[in-house]
Amino acid sequence: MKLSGKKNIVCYCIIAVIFAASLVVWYFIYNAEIENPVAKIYKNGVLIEIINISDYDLRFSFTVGTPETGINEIKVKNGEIWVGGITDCLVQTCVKTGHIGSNGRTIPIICVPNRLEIRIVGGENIHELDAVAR
Amino acid sequence: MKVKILFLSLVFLLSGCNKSSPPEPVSRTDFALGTFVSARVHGENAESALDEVFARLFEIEQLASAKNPDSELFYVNQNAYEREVTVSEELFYLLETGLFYSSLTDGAFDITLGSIVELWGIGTENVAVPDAEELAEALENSGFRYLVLNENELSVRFWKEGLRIDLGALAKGYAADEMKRILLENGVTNAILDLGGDIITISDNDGKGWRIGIADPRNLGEICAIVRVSDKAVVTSGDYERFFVQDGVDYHHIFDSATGFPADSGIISVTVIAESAMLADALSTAFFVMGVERAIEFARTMPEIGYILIDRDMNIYNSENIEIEIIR
Repeated sequence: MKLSGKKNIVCYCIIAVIFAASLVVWYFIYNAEIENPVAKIYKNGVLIEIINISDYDLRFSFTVGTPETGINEIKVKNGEIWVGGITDCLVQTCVKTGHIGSNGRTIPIICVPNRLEIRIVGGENIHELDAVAR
Repeated sequence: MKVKILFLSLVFLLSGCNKSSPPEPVSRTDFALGTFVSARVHGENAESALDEVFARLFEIEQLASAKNPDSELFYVNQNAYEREVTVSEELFYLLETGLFYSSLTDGAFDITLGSIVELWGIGTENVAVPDAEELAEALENSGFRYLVLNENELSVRFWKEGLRIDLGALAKGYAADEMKRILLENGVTNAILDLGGDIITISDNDGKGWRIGIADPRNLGEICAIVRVSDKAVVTSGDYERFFVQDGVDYHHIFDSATGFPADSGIISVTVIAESAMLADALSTAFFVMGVERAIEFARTMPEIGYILIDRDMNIYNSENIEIEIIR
């Protein structure tokens, strides 16, 4: 089926609009600031900790891992989380990723050697709970 | 070609809208056993099953309340020292199970602390630290070893005049198990029940499991951990649930049968995860009284149960057989 020149232009316009809309949605999903951000920490693909990182006004540090598997030093302050250091790693990708969280950066911090991943989430029912035992 | 691109773009954009929505669950909330009870149920017979479930809940309340003068338990408490009292099969089952758990935990869980509970008056207008002599007398009259059950006659007898049974730490769990049984009999395939914070689940929530938050004992309204369970009960006992303050001291509602005072084991919250809510209910109380070391030692003898213990310093101890996320 062949389209006339006018229809061609309409088609290109619609595709362009859809593409532009997708970019806008993508931008807001990945770059919008998150109120009260929460960090989810995964080790070997398993969620091991959830931290309300906006709760910490003063710097708070802890480590994940063991000397055998490698240790990541994780730091939290004012709604931001970052990896301060990692043992036995020359690449230091996770450290170089820098701060993520309330600064609007939501790119996950990933440490391949230690199978560690830190993701930022936000919004209501952040923990996706079905009930609370109390 | 362009039409194809346009078509594929639209399909791509709209693909997220094309999910078939699962049938809506039926939810209901009511007040029973001194707390709010809510149920979220999936299944064809959900409505009628819930009618039956809540009717059953009120039956259990009528049976097992130590405070209601019309309850069967109240009658037992008033008469079982004077003479042998024959009881219904259901109450006998509750007493027998309670006595078994009392013995199993060596009195850390004890269904015969009714006099002590009454004396402290927690949950009533007369709440206060009791007089030392009165407390000593109540303690003297308490203890599961003074409760005698006759299986052949379905009868109950007390060996101490002041002995009183309190099923408060068992009845909610029993009610939860009964609710689950009725729902399963009615073909319910997926459900979550909340009896004032005692949670019981049916199935694995379509493979996702049920995500249950564990209340932060020192930051009410927040949670300090999440467990993922399937077909299990999750029961928590904490010192923050019911308590009062006198002369600057907090007194909570979980009593130590050895002292007659609120348990002071260093634990401030216990969560037990088990198949049976009644077992989880009893063990959460027992572990609270035992303290961390004794509770962990005890739990080794029951590898099928899971636990989360939180001490005064907010240290969290959990069994390795549960899926848990700790929240800082």
